[in-house]
Amino acid sequence: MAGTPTARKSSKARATARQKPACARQRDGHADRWNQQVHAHRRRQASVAAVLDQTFGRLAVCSPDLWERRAYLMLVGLVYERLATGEDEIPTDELVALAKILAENRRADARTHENHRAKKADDTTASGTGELPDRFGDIVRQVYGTSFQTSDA
Amino acid sequence: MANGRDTRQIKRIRNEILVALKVVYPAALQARQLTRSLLVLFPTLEFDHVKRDLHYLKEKGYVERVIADPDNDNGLTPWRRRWFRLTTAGMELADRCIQDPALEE
Repeated sequence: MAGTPTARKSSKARATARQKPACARQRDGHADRWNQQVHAHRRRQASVAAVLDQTFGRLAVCSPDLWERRAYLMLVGLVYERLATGEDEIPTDELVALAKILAENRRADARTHENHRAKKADDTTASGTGELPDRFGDIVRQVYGTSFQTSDA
Repeated sequence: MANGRDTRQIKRIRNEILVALKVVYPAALQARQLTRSLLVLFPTLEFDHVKRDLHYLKEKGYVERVIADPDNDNGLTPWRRRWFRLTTAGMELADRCIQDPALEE
């Protein structure tokens, strides 16, 4: 009912809400603008995350040792930075730095592979009787009629 | 207020740092890259603010510094070129699995 105190109070409350002070209206405006900006930024970041996941996701899961490699960090950081800030050009000095790092990384990988190969070859040679030839046991048996045993056998 | 920033803005910036690091997790971002991406939302942001906030988040255990291989860090790497990554606690906070009143708006 229009004449009841409750009804009078609610219409008064509505009137007060309509006549918000200028500073409150301004604050609301700022909040709205902020929310819109954050929403747009979040959408962009979600797209960046999808791109990064498609590009590096499997690599990151399969090779945890990459997570601290400079080349990997540089690539991810560069992709993120370019996409998140909406810049479409990469300065020449950054490209040069990235190329150098990738080349360095490739050299480091090649060195690591070489070391692994060399170690594997050493292990193969060192297996069995160590420094002795492969058929040394047979020779001992033929000469002395007894089996040759290594100290750790 | 801290360095001309109000509490709300400080919280917003810290939250955005966590969100940005979450996007690249488990990789890391350089402080310089973080600052540039934050400038989209905070055009008046200064690098010193980001540095303070990164230091704060690191002290709280939400962010850690990554010393990229084959870099040798003897403490001389400029702040702008240092890498930072979310810790597990930072990831949980960014995913809203845990809460921190100091970072809630």
